[in-house]
Amino acid sequence: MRFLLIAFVIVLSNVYAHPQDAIQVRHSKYIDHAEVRHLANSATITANDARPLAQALTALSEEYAWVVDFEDPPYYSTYDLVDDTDAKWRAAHPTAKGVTAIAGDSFQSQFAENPDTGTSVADEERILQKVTSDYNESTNPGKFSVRNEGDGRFAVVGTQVKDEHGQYQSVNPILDTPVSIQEETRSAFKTIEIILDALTVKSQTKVSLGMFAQNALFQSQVTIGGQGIPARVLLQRTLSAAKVKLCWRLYYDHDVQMYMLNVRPLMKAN
Amino acid sequence: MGNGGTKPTQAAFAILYNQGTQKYQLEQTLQPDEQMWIDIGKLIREHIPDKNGKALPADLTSGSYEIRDLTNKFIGALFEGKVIYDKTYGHVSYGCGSCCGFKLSPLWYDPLGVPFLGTSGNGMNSLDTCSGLWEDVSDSTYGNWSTANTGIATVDYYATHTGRSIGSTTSSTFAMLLAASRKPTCPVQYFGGSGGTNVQPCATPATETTAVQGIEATTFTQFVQTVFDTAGDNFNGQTVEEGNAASGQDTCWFQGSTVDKYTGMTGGSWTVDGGQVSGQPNAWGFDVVGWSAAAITYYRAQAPAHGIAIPCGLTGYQSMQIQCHNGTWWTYTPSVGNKLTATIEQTDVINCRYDMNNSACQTINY
Repeated sequence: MRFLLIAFVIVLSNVYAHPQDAIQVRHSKYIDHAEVRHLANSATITANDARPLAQALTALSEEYAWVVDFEDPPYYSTYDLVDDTDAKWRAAHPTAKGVTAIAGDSFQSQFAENPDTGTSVADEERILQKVTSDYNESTNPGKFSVRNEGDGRFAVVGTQVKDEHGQYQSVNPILDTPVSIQEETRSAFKTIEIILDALTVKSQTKVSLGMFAQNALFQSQVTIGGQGIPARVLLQRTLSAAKVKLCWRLYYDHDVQMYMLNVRPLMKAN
Repeated sequence: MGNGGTKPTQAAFAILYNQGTQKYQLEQTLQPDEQMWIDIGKLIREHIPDKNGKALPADLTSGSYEIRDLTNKFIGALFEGKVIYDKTYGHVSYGCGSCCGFKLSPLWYDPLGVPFLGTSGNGMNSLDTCSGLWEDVSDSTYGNWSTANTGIATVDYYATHTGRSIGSTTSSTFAMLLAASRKPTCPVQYFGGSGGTNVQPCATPATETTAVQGIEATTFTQFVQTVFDTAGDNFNGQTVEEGNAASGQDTCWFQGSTVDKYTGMTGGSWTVDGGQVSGQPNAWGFDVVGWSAAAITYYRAQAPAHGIAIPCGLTGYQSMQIQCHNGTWWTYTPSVGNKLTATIEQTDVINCRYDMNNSACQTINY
């Protein structure tokens, strides 16, 4: 009986010892959509994702019809990243490097809510500041700041990551990089490609277009260009010309050391 | 065979040989009670040509035959008698063929779209069990049409529906037709048909077909759609807009992916006969389907190590609505919507659009 108990304790203590178990446990906790819950005079938002702040902002954007852009910082340390290599793939590729994922998990924030929430830009900024501040207080990867981009548009931008010693280190948001592109009339899609190509050359970091609102970007014609203008500003001008409200998610993958720009339409929740 | 009716009728007789691949056809007008006698042995021996100038082969020894009443298409007046095949060799076959009747009777349009205070026509088809072809049997339904709610739509003798108020009802009709039968008799049976009728604020497309136009940005497919309705209306200049009939699916995405998860349509809108399809009546487009080149490269390289196998892809369910001239919108696709897919394979991408009335796919080597 004593032998059985000892064996049981040993088994339990090793539940998360195998990396694959830890990956499965982490994945099982993630949720598809962040949840906004309305209380008497406040609301809470609950997220659980590799990028919980981005997930929370998407839910707020859909809840209140806000245009909020999001930009990952370039995570690189083991403090911000976790192993995400599939067990079967690892068995087939025992000497390969494997892959990582951002080490985000659960995050919750509570903010005051009033009848103007959703229509007041000042209220929007207050709530975004509160949620971002709460995130920065959490143990989740990176630190972020809120920027008012004007015309009812906000951006939440990654500004710090942890280094290999676990210390926060400031980073320059890549979209602040000034670039120069010829002013011409082109499709919004082509214009974004040219902006990202210029950004890739200037920053020496690959930035490509991932998922996007295809018909909106292929159909819209824009006349955008200029010398030494932050890529962020050129992107904002391009998206403003589209027929539908668009926002972006700029995500970074340390394994391939590249950013992917995703452009999505504003979807108001019912 | 003979005419058992009270009026003259045009009778057709056909011999099918070479496993039914060849047909020898005769036609003759038969007066009431008149009979048509056919000596097939004589036709063979004397090389008598049929109505198309074709003679039967001299060595023909077997085959089948059919008779058809060309005047009374749906309920024939002909009766069948004994057929002499070849007395010389003692082969005699008695007429006991099965009846070439109909089965199934769907309406042309179900549901039928009818503009408010406008009209739309409907009809009925039935399957000819001998030819395997759908025949238009609408003539036999005239005078038999009705609608369940005449406050929404009415229907006249010739199946022309008139929209009385916006809403949905059911239209029904029937025809008396020869039913398919294995027996030598040809029973006349009741064939009923019914379907939905939707009265809409304006004329809306009843059908939409899709076709591949070309490639956009290396990995995307441009599709062009053409819309029609029963009245042949012109939709040029009207706006069509996509929405989500159901949530999209993305089997390539993994937690932490730099490519956003695909969740559905992104709300494109197009002017019929405008923009990129200007000059193409009743066409709208381009509807662009696919993955970006960067996303394809990223998923091929990264997804397997995250436990996602290639091929993988996205699926969207696109509802389409059209804007009436009075500003109201009307969804004209079925509730399931059009299915749009984009699949990433190891060396290709396959973009497909499954529309209301057809589908089209394009494989791009990338």
